[in-house]
Amino acid sequence: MINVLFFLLSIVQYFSFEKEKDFEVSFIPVFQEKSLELENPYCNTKGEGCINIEILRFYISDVKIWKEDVLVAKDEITHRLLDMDNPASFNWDIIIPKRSKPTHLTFTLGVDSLTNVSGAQGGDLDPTKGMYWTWKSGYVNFKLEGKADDCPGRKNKFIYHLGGYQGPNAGCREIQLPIEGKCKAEIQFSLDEFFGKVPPSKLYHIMSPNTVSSSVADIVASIFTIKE
Amino acid sequence: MRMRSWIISAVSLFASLVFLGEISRFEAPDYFPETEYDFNKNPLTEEGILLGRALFYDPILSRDNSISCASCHSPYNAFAHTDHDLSHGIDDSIGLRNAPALFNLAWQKSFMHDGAVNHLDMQALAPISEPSEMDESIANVVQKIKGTELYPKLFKDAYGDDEITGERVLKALSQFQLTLVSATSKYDKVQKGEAEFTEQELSGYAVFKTHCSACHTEPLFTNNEFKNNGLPVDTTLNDWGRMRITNKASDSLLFKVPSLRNLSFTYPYMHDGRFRKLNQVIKHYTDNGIVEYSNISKELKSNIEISGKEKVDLIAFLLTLDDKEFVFNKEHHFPREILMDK
Repeated sequence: MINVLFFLLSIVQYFSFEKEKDFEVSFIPVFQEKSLELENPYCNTKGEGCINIEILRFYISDVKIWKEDVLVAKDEITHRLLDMDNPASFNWDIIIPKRSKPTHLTFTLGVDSLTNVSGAQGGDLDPTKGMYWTWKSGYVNFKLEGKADDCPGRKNKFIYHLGGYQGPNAGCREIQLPIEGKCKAEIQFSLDEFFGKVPPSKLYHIMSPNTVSSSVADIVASIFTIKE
Repeated sequence: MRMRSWIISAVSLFASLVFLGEISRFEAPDYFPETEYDFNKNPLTEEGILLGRALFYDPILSRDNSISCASCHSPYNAFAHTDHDLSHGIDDSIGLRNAPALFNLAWQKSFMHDGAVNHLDMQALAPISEPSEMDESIANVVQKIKGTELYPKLFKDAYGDDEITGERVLKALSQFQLTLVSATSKYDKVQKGEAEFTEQELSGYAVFKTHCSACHTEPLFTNNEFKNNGLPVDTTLNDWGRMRITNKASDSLLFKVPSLRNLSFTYPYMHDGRFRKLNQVIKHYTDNGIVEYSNISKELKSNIEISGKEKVDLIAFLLTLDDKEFVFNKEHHFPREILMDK
């Protein structure tokens, strides 16, 4: 009798009204194997000096969850501004069908060209967010600012503003990450890796779209990985 | 029967309430092309236009509340800045370029002399943040506006609630600027069959069509393109035009082709205001003024050859593009009733 009840309960649960579930998406900036903290000196063990990050802010757009080449779900908010001064902006849920088994996730680092030419917009795209260039139209896709002891810039400051939406130097990047067998996507990106490829001692000012900013956008896009 | 007309009136009243505020203040003649601006994304309303007009004339947009949009875009100069070759800004600073006239903006594909701005909504961000103009940030403008007694009410009237955002500020400014349509000059009246050109104006019109209209295309009198018109570089400014934006050598010294409407009100001319008189402009094109750059506009590869009489006739025609009804339209002027009490 108990077996029958258990069987019926399982069937009810299987066909329950709850057909959707939350799929957690989080972005985790790490530096020296720990979650990044702003205004915290990260010092090199080789004695080459410290790096202090003051601003980390970037757009993630059009997040989609896929099973092979079939779209499972997409983020209801198209453009999200992830800002280290607003830690909650790094985590959100996407509703997916309960029994779906996603294989990968795609998103855009930055703001697409159509949005860039569509006039004033609100929410995270409001120009008051400080992510819109004023001397030349277009969103800044990615902002990273801080100080490094070995940076030759004024007051040792480095400023990386990556943007641009036109032509070969457009700054948007499409990123795909595997999530097979995962119940959430914890997307890490390592600042060690970034500074390893973009040392502030050599490159410390990027404030307009050009070939250098385009190369750095490629590097930023390459440091996103799924946390194992 | 009476009942039926009462019902029709009631339905009409209901319909007008449903569409409360939305208006057709934007009017253009049928010989104008389709607009570039997408009004569906920012439908004009009386309240939105009034809010935009108040913001346009309010120095609250500048760092020390001293400079408004109208400081360099005066309504009496077709929203240009007569007598100043370069724009003036905060702390009496001088900018890099001549403040352009503002009209027929709904038909423009890009903004600023070098096309740096891709949408009318976003244009105001440039002067607001430019250190030699308003030296302010849109985020701070929003904070200042929130602290006033006036603006929360105007935003509520325009948007249904008193939330003040950067998007709303910019769209309201667009709403007002979109109403700046210049289409009531003598030229327009001739197009509409309401007036006739004089013989001299007709002769000038023929000269214009032969030598000028490729770039200053009717009826807007600009093709909205960027051209190198052969001006020698002003070495005190070293302004390389569109190349500053695109980083392409082929865009060196390219500037946006300006409209020829309202020339009597918008002097001095050219991106750096180097010419004070129309005669000087015409002389540049006809009397060996053109520098032969490799990327010179193809229409200017050789001097334009016209006689003295033709020059005079051409100017006579160009003056038919003056639009006094537009310039003296009080609906575009300082909103005394709102800002005087502020």
